[in-house]
Amino acid sequence: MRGELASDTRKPRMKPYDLVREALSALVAVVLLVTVLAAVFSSPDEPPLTIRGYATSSPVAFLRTALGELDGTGTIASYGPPYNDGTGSLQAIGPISPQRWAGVRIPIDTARTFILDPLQAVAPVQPGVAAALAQFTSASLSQQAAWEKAYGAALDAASSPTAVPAAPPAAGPVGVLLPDLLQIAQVGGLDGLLLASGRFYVTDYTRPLLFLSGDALNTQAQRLHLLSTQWGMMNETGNYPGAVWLWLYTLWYQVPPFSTSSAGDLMIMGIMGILTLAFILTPWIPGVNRLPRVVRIYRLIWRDWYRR
Amino acid sequence: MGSGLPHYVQWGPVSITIPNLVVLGLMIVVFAAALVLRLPEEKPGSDHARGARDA
Amino acid sequence: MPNMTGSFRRWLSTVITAEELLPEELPEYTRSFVYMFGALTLGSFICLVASGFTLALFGPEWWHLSSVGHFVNSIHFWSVQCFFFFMVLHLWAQFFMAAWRGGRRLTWVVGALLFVSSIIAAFTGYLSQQNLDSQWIAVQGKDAMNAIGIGAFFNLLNFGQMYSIHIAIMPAVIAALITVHLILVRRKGLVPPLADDAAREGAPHAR
Repeated sequence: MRGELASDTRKPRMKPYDLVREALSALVAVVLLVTVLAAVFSSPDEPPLTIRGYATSSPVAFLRTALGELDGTGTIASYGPPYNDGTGSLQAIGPISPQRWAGVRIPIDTARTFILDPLQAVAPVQPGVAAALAQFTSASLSQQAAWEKAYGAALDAASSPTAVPAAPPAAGPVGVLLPDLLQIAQVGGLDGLLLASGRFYVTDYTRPLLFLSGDALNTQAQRLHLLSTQWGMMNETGNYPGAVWLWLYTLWYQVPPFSTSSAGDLMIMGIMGILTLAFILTPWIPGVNRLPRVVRIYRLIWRDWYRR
Repeated sequence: MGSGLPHYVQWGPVSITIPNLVVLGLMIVVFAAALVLRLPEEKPGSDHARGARDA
Repeated sequence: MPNMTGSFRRWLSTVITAEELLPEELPEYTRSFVYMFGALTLGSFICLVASGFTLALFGPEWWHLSSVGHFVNSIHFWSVQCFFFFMVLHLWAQFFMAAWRGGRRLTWVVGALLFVSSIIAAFTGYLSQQNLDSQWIAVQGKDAMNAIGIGAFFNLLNFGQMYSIHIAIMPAVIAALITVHLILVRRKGLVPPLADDAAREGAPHAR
């Protein structure tokens, strides 16, 4: 076939070979290898983060996250498809935006889902919440924004990550609702309320994970060197080898324009899609399919054959 | 090895954890060894050698 | 009307013969350690399936709560490392031998699809661990999935979906692809060495 490297046409001598024995030997070798590696090195298992843990260890950061999801400035509140109509994380290259085309498929109104609904659920047993909720939800948007701004200013003035500042009177019902949400979260209530869906069995963690997806998990990931800008996709927690095979995918996230563009993911997925296709179609790609002839490693593999 | 904070090396934009570096290094070493090392020769008179013939 | 059973049987008998599948002789040029990497990859896959069966049998929480479970998880973890380690070395060797020659292009394509499927299998496995690593990979990876418009259909934050893809769908896909790959390798035989020098290029080659 044209463009294909020529094969040697000399007839090879055949030698006896035991494929089944080779396969079994390889299996035994790998079993021994992984057993020794498992016994000596064990495997990583960093415990998952809970909303309860986050609210307990970093109450001020928790309140700031909750406020962002209430006033619409949070990462998820302004994310865009598939969660809502925001544009904060909407990726597009010119007119090309599969994210916009796919549309809102998992609708999440963060103020309602993350803050108001959980508070509504506990209102019957949490004094003061029902009145504050009624006051907040019946107020105008500008009044809500003014309360939120006043509470945000108080959080900004917090003296330490664990010292929750007193809510100023100007924060109105927000100064009641968010500290209440913190209390609920600190006893584990918010973990359950975000997971609850009206069904008994749940295997979908979209909502609690989205709540933790901003500051909470980022802080942990940075500590463990897992951020995308730290080549984190290749890395495992602790000192274990990770997904080394993702090196090429990870590489793009380190270099401009991908590392700085708001459409970095879309560009990189596009490039990796093309490269993956090229990898699958290697035998047909001119130049690449002749590389083995140039590199000449085949001479080493078949050195006895060429010596003959 | 084990839990705790990861150890890593950094050269300019390249940052790689020590365990990943070890795996990469081993891959190259094992591949090179497989190219260079020879399978043990068949002993003359063994079944294998007797079975060898021109195809 | 043709008998479908007969047609199917006749087609089946053309796929591969027992002699092609399990020969007792191989060409002399296969005397190199690089020919072992495929078998080692297959061995790692068998370890993955065996440890994965055990983990699946006891459920996704088991390995966090039991020391035996943790050990089985460790075997699964290191089998993944070995699987990719040997698969990549196998890939390097096949590339440097230009092993797609002589009507073996489909074998390469199926091998490449195996590599891609294995990445999906490993990815969904990381998401099934139920630990901090899973949480981070889910929230981090969702942006790339959302950017290409599949984030709601392949929802990394949906544990149930990722777990079932990992323990049922991907192992079946990989096992099927391995079967096809092995049949193609055995049916076509091992690729002959490249022609000795550039002058011989373009000469007819063995089919």
